[in-house]
Amino acid sequence: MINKIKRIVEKHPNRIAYKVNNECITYKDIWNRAGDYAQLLKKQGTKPVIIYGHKNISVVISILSCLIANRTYVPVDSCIPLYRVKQIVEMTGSSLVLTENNIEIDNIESSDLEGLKKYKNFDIREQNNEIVYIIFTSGSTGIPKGVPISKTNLNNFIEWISSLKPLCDYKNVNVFNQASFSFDLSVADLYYSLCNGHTLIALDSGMQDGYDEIFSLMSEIDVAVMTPTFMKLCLINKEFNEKNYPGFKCVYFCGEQLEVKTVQKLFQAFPDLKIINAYGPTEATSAVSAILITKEMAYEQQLLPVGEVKTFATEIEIIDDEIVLKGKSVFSGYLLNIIGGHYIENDTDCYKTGDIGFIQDGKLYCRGRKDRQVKFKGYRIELNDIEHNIGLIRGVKECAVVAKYSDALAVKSIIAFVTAEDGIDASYIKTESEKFIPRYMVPKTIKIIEKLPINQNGKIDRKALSEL
Amino acid sequence: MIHTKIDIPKLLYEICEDERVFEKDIDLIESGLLDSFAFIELFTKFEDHGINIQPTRIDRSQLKTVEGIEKLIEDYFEKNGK
Repeated sequence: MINKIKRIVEKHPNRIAYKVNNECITYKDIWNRAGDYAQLLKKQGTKPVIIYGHKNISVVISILSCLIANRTYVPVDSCIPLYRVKQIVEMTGSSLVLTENNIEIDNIESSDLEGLKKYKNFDIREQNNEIVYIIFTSGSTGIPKGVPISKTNLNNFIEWISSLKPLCDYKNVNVFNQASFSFDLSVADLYYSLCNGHTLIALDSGMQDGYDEIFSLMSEIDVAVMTPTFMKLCLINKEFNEKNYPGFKCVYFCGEQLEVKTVQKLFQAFPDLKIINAYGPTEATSAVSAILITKEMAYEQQLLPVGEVKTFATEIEIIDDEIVLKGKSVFSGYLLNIIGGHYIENDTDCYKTGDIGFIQDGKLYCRGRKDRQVKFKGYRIELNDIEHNIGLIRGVKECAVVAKYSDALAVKSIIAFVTAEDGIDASYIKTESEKFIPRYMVPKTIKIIEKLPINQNGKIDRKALSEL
Repeated sequence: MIHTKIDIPKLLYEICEDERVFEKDIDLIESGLLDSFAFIELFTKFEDHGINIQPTRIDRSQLKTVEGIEKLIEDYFEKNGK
């Protein structure tokens, strides 16, 4: 993929590669700067590099530097609490946190890009490294799980997304980045954009608080990569329509269930918009299937497809109602050999997704989960992860977390039921939780109760709790 | 209290499922109660009540308090003669 970007740099050196908060950088500049830092990174060491930050230009330069230097990068958004960052540092065995933020972690060097210059006179340490990046997801044991993605995985993904209709037809367009770089939805916009010579325009998290800024940004966008939840937010604005945003051509959804209602509203506002619904877990490099949603589907079906057989990025099978992925897109197992879903069959990496699905008329459908993983506001969350971490708070005795659904598939809210020592209240638990888990995982509602209901098997009765 | 035709605290409770919405002077944005998800629901519920307020045309600080939202709705009704 690095050669692809290099070719774009040679062909369109002065084209804007990345833009955030009215700051931008051309392909030539980003390439030259990343190339310089890559030389220093080669001298600094060979272990994975934690890239800690949000959407700053320096974050994208850092990513590109790692790609050129053949160092594995681990994107960690600044919304991740320090406690979790430390867990990630330990699990990856990293020797460097590359960041513009002020962050100090024991036993690991923290430096900004300029700080790498101290390695100028060191020797280059060449290495064979197959892993491009490691993205961490919520883990059911309460500790995040590292998903290493190889060059083969990523190259296969880039080739696939770049050949998808109508994405393959666009030349020099503005691509919208919503997700932070530590979520794999961003892999789609970052690599689709850079490897095809487009301009990636990022939404800064600070900007997400200001509604006006979102729409001012959207007026520049041709192709948007976003979660359905984010689109719902946009659609509240009745002025978000074809007349006022004539340049908006295509939207690529991934990361959570796309509801029929959202698509209907979207078609009302943008009758000619191309709507791509994609599907795939982090473990299979962002996405493995996609389909162009038609008006017929939006008005005649209850459940929208997430892919079509003829354009699968990898082999997809339904085994006992579960979607199972096999082949080039699939990772080779979690970091530290944590078990869960990955297996090898005939020398091929396979992954049992835990998603319940079926294939009908050449189309793939997904209709929920086999386990306690949920998608909430586009984030992948293990409810056990929240339970475990709330359980670490001093004064908390027991905790059970349940999701409430607005319909069969869309999670409306996450609620924690807690038994605690006297004097412990919900706001204390909320504040303490933010030390252990990212804010988006902290349940908005925390109910202190005397004891958790138990079912006939002697286990916590979560069904009873979800009905409370 | 400003009189409005919809019960805003009740509406917010339906959205947030958190009793803090009934607390006087609670900052809905600062407390995280009115996050982007709740924001979507709030405006969808306005629509259900036939209230079409453009989020880009209002000052976001009006959404900080229950009273601010009540005032917003009252102004809407006054302006639209309902």
